[in-house]
Amino acid sequence: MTKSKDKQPKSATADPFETRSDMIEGDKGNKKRPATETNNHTEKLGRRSGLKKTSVVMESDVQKHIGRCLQEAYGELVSEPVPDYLIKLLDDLAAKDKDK
Amino acid sequence: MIASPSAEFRDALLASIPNMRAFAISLCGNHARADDLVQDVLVKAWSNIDKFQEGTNLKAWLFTILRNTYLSDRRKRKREVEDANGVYSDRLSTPPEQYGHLDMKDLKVALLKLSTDQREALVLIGAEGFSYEEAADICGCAVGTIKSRVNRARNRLAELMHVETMAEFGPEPLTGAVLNQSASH
Repeated sequence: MTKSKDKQPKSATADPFETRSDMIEGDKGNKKRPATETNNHTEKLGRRSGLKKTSVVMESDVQKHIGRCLQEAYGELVSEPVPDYLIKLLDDLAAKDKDK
Repeated sequence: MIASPSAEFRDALLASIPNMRAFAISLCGNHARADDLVQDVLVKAWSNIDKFQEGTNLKAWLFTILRNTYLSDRRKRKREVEDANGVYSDRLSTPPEQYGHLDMKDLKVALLKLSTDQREALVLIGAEGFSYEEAADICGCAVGTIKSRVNRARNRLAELMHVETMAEFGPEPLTGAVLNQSASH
């Protein structure tokens, strides 16, 4: 894989849990395929992994749900109160710098 | 380049603490150690402010410092064994007693069973909302590597949580509400 292919721009807001062909195949999936080949690809994927097409779709739903749960769990951590000593540390650093 | 730390920089660091703590907890799985890590990052960021390019992503810079500090700390302590196969975590945690009921405890246990590489990639992309490019910069690897790690991480999560179909999800108030809301629109 070349570096230029690595640098394909992706939006930060894109759903990272969406089951995309490039995600399914990891690094190998960066090859561009015509849109008409998408269904064939899904079927090939299903055959390779022993899954039917419906299973691939179902897997996508599961991944989206896990993604939501992850964001929810992480959101809980982010919303925890900041320990006072960390705030004091910043205040001390700022004060020390001011005294210089 | 910022000439000297300012009140503005102090406020920006303060605003970043909740996200740094969450990422640190995700990495080490321990609140007290995560707070120690954040403390180290704040001191390092303050004393290296001249290395921060103004106008660039402060959060990504802080996360890079945090990640490097965590890995360096882990190497020094040599207390934590790399857990690529989740063997160590298996001993520490109890697997979900019943299949089909996804809850936050299951998710947190499963997350800690992922390798550090996979966990950090998943959290940076899936929870923090960094782009693949930003996550690759933070982790010092290629974009394709990040994609691959996220892919493996999410598949491993589903596997660890014994989830194969949506029907296996148990009722979950908050996400259930979100799903119902989406369905009604």
